[in-house]
Amino acid sequence: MVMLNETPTDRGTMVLNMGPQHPATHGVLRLLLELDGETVVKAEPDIGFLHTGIEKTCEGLTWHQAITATDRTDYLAPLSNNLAYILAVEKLFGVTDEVPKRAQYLRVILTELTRLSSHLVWLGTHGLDLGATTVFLYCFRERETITSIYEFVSGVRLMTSYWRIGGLCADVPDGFEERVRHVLDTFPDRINDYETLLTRNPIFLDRTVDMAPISKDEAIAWGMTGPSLRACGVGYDVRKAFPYSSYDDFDFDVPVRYNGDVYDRYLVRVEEMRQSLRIIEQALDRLPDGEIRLDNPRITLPTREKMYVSMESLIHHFKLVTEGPRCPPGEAYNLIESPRGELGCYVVSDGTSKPQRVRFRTPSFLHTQALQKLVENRQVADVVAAIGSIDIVLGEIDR
Amino acid sequence: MATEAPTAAAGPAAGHMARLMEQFGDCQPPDTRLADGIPTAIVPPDRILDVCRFLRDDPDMRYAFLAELNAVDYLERADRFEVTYIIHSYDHNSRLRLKVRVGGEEPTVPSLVSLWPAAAWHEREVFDLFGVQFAGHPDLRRLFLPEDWEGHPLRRDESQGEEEVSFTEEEAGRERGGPVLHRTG
Repeated sequence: MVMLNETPTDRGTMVLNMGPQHPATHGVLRLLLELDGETVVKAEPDIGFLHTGIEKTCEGLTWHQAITATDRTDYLAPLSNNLAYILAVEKLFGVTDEVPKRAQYLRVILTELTRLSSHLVWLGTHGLDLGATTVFLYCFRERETITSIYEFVSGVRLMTSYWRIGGLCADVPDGFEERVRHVLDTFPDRINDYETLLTRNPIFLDRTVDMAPISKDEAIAWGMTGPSLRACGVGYDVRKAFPYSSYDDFDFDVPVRYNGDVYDRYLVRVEEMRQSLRIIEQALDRLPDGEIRLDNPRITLPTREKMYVSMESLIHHFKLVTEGPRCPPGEAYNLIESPRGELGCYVVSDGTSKPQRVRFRTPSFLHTQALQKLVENRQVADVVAAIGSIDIVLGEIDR
Repeated sequence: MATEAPTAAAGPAAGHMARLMEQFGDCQPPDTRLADGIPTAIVPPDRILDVCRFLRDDPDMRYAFLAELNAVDYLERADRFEVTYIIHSYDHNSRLRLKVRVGGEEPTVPSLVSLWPAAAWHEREVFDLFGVQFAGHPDLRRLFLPEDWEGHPLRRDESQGEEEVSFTEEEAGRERGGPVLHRTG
């Protein structure tokens, strides 16, 4: 690889150090660009600046405590990361089918809202990178309505940790439905507004059409997933391919484009926002009443009412709080469609109340690796467009 | 084979696994509980490249996507490191899991970078955090940690990291530069 302090090669190229504090690298990403004039000969991403050892940290926490570590990986889509972990743990406990329908639907509603808010951050910053400042302001205004819904249900704007094994931490408060309906009512127009600003904007088109393209086969070989893969003509969406949390109950389309360039990734994500609204609306219309957490004294906390009248419940409560639930030995892999692509969580239990291994297979990690392919032989200014188009979050890459 | 909760994709994947077992006689079925229903084989380390190439290129299989590559440290086993691969076929919407077990002073697994460029960072990550070598990797360096880092933090015998505190009052006193107030022990 090319090092920064290396003398220019005999090919007459130079090495440009981009980041880790460059505003357009969306976090602490460092790119080493070997340039021939304005053309990128070779790009090498250098990661690890945000490595906090989340996977190791999880090994010292109980199955429940580790939930709080999972939303710190991808802080723009905390509920998706919580969900990937919790579904893997539920598989390992063998309670996947016992999670109440109401909890599953609420999980769908909130993770789709997460997709919206994450895509808004992507759209705003991507626009900002390419000189469209206005979009950024609008996107962050709308994102605020969604983060305030997080706060309303979980008490926290970003680090939600709202799921529990077997369901939710608590039922949603009164007024939840009105707030979500407000999002459903206002968003379609807002998305049209963003499109007015960008989709046919000649400057935006110049910067994105045919920019940093990747073919279908290459995208698969480099492990790209999510909207970036769907922009290359592969209609693969985990919500359809391996439905989880009752996604098969809902009717939605998977947008696919075929050019695999920055512009197509943009179009796919914008259309995904509309599809997310469709899913939320169906889930809200059909939201069943009932329990929000499965009732299993081995795993879930008993209700207050039970604890007042039942000694056993008090004992279960004490054991679950002090030791945590014990998980049968084994391993489980679970994958979900996060806003960025396929998010996998691998959990291994040795039979104790703490995980032996928690591992996140994150889409941003592979997309950043593929970046070296995307920007090869492009201009320096296009690197910024390419980084924006793969929608990376450094917390998820470095973990 | 202790699997449960078969996924919708278990159909073609189970058939592919049967064919893999037939083709490569030295692959073993899993001996631990796998709670996700992904058909699994334990592959000898020196066969993993052939197995993956077969699964990727066979026209009836086409497992073109390396979906996951990670490692687990089972400290108590002789072959303590288990490298797990999950591969995906877009043609059949199915998944298979392959496991390789290695141990010893310098655990080494063949690199899959020649098959999937995506494997490069995955393998660097496993090397960085577990110290498993990947033979044939073009650029096997640490990925997250600084180059001069010692040890591999995700090994089970690595500490989770704590700060050393001066515990006796004797030491505490010395640190503050004050008089030793009380001698313990």
